[in-house]
Amino acid sequence: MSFKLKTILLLVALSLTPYVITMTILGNAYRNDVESQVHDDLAYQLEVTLERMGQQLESQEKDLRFLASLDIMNDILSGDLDRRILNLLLMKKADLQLIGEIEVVDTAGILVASTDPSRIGESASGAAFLEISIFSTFDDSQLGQLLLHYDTENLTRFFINDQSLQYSLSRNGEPVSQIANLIEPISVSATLQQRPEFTVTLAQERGIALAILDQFTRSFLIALLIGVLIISAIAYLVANYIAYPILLLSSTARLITRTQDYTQRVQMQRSDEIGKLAEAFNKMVVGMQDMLERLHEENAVKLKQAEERKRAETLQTLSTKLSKYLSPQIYQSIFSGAKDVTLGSSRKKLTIFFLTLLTSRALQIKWSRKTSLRYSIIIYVR
Amino acid sequence: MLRIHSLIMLLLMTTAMTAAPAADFAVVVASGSSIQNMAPERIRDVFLKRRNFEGDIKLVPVNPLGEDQLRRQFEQAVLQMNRDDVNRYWTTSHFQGVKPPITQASLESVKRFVARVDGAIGYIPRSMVDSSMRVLYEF
Repeated sequence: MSFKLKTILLLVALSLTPYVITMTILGNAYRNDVESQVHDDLAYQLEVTLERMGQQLESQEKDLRFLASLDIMNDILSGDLDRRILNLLLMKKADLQLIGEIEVVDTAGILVASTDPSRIGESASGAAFLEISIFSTFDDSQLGQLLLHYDTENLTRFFINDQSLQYSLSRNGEPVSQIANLIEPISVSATLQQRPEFTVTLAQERGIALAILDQFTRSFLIALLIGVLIISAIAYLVANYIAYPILLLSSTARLITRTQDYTQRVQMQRSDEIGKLAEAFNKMVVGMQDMLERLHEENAVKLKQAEERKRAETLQTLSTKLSKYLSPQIYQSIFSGAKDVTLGSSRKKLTIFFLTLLTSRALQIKWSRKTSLRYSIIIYVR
Repeated sequence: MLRIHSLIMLLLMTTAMTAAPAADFAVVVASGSSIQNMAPERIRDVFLKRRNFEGDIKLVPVNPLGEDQLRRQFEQAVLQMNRDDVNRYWTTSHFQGVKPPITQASLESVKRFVARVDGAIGYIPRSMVDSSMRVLYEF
């Protein structure tokens, strides 16, 4: 793996990791916040509904207690002969828009008045939702009871249900009103303060409740992706910025190694440590170049010296050989520089000399005019 | 002359006796009540809530509704007040914490109430009085 790739990957990892972690934490925090907000909204809505229900119950109870305190309730003693209690109950039922029955029973438990007149004279039956004692207004003796038979529809009519939001009512844990099937509902429950046996549950489909969260999740993922791309791009540029001079140094070094061209230089205008490194590299290359040039020069000198030495040795050998054929005086004059020696040729009659020479060296050579001219060395002594 | 005069006087007295209204209404309590009789003044005090007990018995006066003709006659004859006087009296008494007697919507209710409630005292037409009632006073 190249240094550049490693740098890019390292920078991307270093920059993306905290970014992704931060975004994830923020996203989760927002999700939790939204879920909490939805839950709180539901709880608030339920609280408002319960408050309205409670207010109605309290208002109804106050009205009925007021009825029970009226002088007219003394008519229980006359068996409500004039139907004044009955009329009062009917009027109150209509006034309260009550679903259920209001009854007045005497101390023997016989219905004296009822909003269901067909039951008058019968014995009271069934547990009443509300029982209020009635006392006479003249001696405080108990005359009977005012009973409220309450249909739970009086409570459920406060529920405004739709496909996504559903109320349900239970009494002592037993469901009174059914709830439609909701997919993954978020629900809150609360007890009716005035009537603790009633519990109201408000549920909402999670998908609908958290629709805003889904939208947020899409936006979040897009933002995350954009962020990743931007950070990756920045990391790539930064990695390039960091790795480029190193790569340049590396490529230049490899080029010099491959081509032995020490004129190559790293071109870099930076004043930081990388710039100083490039400058040092260039100086090192310059030094090496100078050293090589010196070596070349020294080699050339040494080579020249060697050649001269070889030539001198050749001359020495030649002179040694010539010394056999020259008089010591001539030889001395020539090699001491006292006499100038010129190479040339001229025809002189030195036949004896050559004959002697030929006789001694190569009698097999067939002499001709030309060959004798080609191979004869004639030394002029001026 | 004296005889004629006496005769005229007798005729007038007879006429007067004939014209005098018979007792049409009665103030009653339950027949089982220990109250045997009651003077008109005391009845007046009871219905004006100036007197609440007769012996140990708490008295519970009961009126018909205000527009009932019998009540008007009772107020005139026993309470000796007209409607305005009665209203004025109870307005004043109301601020003293005294409430007017309870009412029943019909004379039949008054009768049943009196018959059932110990200490209840009411007034009904004489014709409605039966064995469950004890008449304290007639007017």
